[in-house]
Amino acid sequence: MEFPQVTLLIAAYNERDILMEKVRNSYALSYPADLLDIVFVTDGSTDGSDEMLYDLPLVRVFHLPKREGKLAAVNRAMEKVKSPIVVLTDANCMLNKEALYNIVCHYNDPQVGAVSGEKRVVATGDSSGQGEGLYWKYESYLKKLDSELYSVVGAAGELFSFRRELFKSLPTNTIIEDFVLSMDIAAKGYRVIYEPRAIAEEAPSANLKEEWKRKVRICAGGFQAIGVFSFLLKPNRFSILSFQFFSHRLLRWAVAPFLLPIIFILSAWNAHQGMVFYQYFFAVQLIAYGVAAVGLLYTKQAQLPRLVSIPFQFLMMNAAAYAGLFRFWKGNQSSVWEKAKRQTI
Amino acid sequence: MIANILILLMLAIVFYTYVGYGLIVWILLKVRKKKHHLWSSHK
Repeated sequence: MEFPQVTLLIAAYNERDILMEKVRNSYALSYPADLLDIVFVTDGSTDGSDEMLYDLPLVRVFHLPKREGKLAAVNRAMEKVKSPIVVLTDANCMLNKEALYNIVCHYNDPQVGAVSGEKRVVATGDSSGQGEGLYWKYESYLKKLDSELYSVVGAAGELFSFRRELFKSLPTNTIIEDFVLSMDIAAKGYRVIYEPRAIAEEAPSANLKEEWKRKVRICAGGFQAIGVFSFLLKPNRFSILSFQFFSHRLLRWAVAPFLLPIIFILSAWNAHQGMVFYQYFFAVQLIAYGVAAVGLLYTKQAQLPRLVSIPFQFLMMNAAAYAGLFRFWKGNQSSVWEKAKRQTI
Repeated sequence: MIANILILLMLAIVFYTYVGYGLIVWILLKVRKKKHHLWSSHK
């Protein structure tokens, strides 16, 4: 197999503390050096990231003093990228040595337009990481199934690659650019493949407040994306992709979270009417929500038992849909986002 | 009665969203693999 030229594109905003580790990680990637172009975009950074990177060999740096968000930075950098394959990754994610080989091999298939790697949340024992890690394990398994069936519906921006020719400059008010970019490629009729052997390791959110901010932003972006890709909801035209988008995204972001309180109220009503099944079912819900609420009281503790962590994360994920909808509705979710603070691995 | 039907419908949607969809895709893939296997052994 002949390997293509690859650009590793890293958008970094005030990430100086972790940039040297990221550079070392990029140098250590197992890919022919003459075929790999490492590009950092540090637009808006005020911590001297760009000055630190300018001196390093085999690294190109694009920097503008003005901060316009990750997508604007990526759009700008993409105008200068010439390689046929681009790999987008975050500065705080460390890739495994074989990640690029494992991604690139999929592009032998002309139907493959993009490849998403696996985001792995490194366990640190903290409560926010436990549930996040479990959620991502389940989400990753669903991605694997989606990919085998036809296409992933939404790639993780921590490690995402695509054919340069398929890149389209997205509006800079796009909230979840990784999702929109990958869906745009899928909507063009290309498959977005999930490659679990290409791994981006990331520390969990620093605390539950940061995790909440991240989830709300994703949900606000989800509502925006549903509007953008509503044309996919035509099964006669998009067949499997339509089914996947409807089931995995639309129901998850815009329907299920809003049914949960109605189910709670209706089952309380049925229980009150003396229906035995609903009395048990209502009790189960009360216990689950109660356990989740207990989790909220103990978030400052180092460890949350898994039994508490799972219902807590489930509740937080669904509650974030309300906050996300509100923020999207009000139009005050900035696309120039502050990255969630993360623990140190 | 209506509350009963409504709640069952909503439960079905929530179950499908979080579990059922994955299960259906998993089954579809199994069927596809079996069909492919049968087809290639027949050939």
